[in-house]
Amino acid sequence: MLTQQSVYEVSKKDRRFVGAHLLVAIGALSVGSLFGPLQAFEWSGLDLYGLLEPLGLGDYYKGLTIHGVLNALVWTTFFITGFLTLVMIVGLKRPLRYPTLNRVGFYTMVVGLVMAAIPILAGAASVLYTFYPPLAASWAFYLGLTLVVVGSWIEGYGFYLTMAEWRRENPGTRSPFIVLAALITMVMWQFAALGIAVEILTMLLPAALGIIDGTDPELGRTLFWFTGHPLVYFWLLPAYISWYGMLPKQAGGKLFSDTLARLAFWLFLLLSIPVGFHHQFADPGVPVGWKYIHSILTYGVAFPSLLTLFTVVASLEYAARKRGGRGLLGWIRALPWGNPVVSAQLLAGILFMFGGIGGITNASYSVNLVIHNTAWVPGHFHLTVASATTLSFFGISYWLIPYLTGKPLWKPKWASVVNWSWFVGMMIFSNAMHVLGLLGAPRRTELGKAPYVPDEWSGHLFRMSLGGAILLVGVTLFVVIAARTAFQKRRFAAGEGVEFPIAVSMRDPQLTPLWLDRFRPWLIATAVLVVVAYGPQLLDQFSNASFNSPPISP
Amino acid sequence: MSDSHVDPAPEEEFVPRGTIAVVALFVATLVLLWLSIYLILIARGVTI
Amino acid sequence: MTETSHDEAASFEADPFEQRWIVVSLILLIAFMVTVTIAGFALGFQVPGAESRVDPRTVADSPPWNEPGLRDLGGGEYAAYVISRQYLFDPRTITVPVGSSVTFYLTSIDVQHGFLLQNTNVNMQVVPGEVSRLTVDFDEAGEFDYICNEFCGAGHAAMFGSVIVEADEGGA
Ligand code: HEM
Ligand SMILES: [Cu+2]
Ligand SMILES: [Cu+2]
Repeated sequence: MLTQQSVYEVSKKDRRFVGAHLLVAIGALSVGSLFGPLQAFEWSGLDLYGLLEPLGLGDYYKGLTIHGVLNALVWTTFFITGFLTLVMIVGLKRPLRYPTLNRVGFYTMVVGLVMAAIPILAGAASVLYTFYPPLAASWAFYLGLTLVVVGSWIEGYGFYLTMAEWRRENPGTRSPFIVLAALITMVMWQFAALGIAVEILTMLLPAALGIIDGTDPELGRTLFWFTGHPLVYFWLLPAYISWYGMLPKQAGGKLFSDTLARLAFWLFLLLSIPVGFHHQFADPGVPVGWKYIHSILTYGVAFPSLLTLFTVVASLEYAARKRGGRGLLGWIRALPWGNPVVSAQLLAGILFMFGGIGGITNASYSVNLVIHNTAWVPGHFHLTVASATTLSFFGISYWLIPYLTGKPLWKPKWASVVNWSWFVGMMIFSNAMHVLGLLGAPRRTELGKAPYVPDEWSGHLFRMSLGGAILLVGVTLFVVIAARTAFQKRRFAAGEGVEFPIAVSMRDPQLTPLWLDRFRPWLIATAVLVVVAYGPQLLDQFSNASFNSPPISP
Repeated sequence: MSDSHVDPAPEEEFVPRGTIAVVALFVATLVLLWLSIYLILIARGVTI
Repeated sequence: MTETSHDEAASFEADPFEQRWIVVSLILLIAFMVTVTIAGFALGFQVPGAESRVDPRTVADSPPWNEPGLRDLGGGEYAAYVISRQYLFDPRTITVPVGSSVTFYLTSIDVQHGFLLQNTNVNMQVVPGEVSRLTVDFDEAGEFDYICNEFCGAGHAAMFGSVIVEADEGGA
């Protein structure tokens, strides 16, 4: 055995490059998140949009479009591509093979973002982040979103080429888990995004440019959700990379099972695409049989998350016991809760348990009719993308920004306040939203103006805006901490600093079977499953498509 | 073997009892919440 | 330390407790699966399917959509044809006697809408070019709002209607 290799030193240029991703991501979050509390307040009767009118942001649905696009699409995509870039470099201990390619990808995303932002701000794209046809937005909105997606693909190509080079240099060595997981995330995303790409390029963009007279809205929905469900795994898997591959180390332990961690990621690749009809249970135009098949497959994709629950909790328990934790549940207290990097991820994980329960409910075929497009749904995904993902990304930022800038985290105690306010605020907010949904409150609705709201909703509407207010405190403080950390003058003294956290596996990864380290069989299986589970219905919808629904501006 | 992620020491015996407890609590919550929504579906009546 | 020796030693191995968890979680998922299958395909709690296609530009010109509203099919059964458009449902109210079974047919002549009938399982996406259909039995008198639950434009929050279920005249 050789001694442990020295830590890989990431070049200053690459640090800046990753940092640029974070800058855009956190910038997007800081603007996008402002609208969340405003929406919550509006629902409970406190309409503050009048104050934004002078800025041209007085429209609820323009704000909701900004909230969805900036938070769910921009904050996530930029953070993820940046974070995974660093995972590739440090995980493989080598620079990117073609750094220019990755830079082209990043700038394509930035150009796309600007291009989409202009019509949104001008009020020419208030179509929400799902842009369901025939609601029409300016062509620049669709083209901009396309460029964001294409840019993220290009960054992914840069990853693959880097990996290929590493394989040449290291024959016979198992790829590091975090690198494999990052690659699987990217490959899954590339595969998945084909749906939206086809929808935009064949229908929405031509219709916006007046080349075709109309679209087929149901076909549009099917193509959108081909991408839409795996999109949520594109948000989630980077958080899982941290939970599996970094959190055990940060908590003082080891990864419980390298083998099962890899298996879980492969299953996500295999199963996260052929499940999109679970977003269309309430749709006309899709036969019940296909909806049922996707419902069953969705239970399948729940399985790797259940595996994750066990592996991650076991890794944490191991850490806690090593730190002297005792008792059946008492060990939980022995985890390093004082470290905001850890507490963010622990709290994100707890919120995600409820998110997962809601998700299994959503996927349960006709049970979905109880909650479809009610307030339950935003209640659910604020536990997933806005907590499991977002709060984990907060935790990652607390070490990542110091790592990239060489500057210590500004006021770590306040970072703990961020985590706890997010947790408490989200518990209140999302519980209220779930209950409202069960009582029949619709989502995507300026509810303060709706004539049908019964009195029985008002207590929950109040709780929802209370939670929203607490969340506003949390996100504001997070942005302040991130900015103060990055732009302060203070630097780490010599000998200080943060290291890139990579959890050691309890079992030598070299003992993980080869089939868990090879792309080809899994890619083939994924393609076959997608063709089987989507092919016939897609073919049917394409061959019977009528592009006769003219675009209508909202 | 030059990889820093590898732990050469043979693993000490570790039984994840606490994990089993957490997972059991999770399953109980899952089944309870899921069933309560399922019962709402049933209470609201058939659709065909 | 050769790589081949490693590859030979490589194997799929999981902790015995984790293996049991795998079995438990699979059983759990299968139990959910069976339960929803029974509800959906044996007990009548079904989701909307592929009903029929229409041309959203002309659908309102010909029967049955040129006269939206209720049709009495006899024997306590009704069909309700509801057209959705920015920002109203046509008809705005539907009145039926208690005990009736109403099949709702919906389509849209402009953008996508939603049809969420309070306190029932009728919850449908309404899509131009498609007809959405679900049936509901009204066993209790009362007023049930139907609410648009898909964003359809600036006036979306005002878009709703009501089913009025009238008590039996005999008071039975
Ligand atoms: C600052 C705390 C936040 C609050 C109080 C909040 C509140 C809300 C509310 C009330 C809605 C529903 C509006 C409606 O349906 O009419 C909503 C929608 C949404 N939120 Fe948030 N949110 C917050 C943060 C976030 C974050 C961090 C993300 C993602 C990372 C996010 C993603 C979304 C998405 C995707 C929607 C759906 C938009 C749509 O229906 O088109 N939110 N939010
Ligand atoms: Cu989904
Ligand atoms: Cu509407």
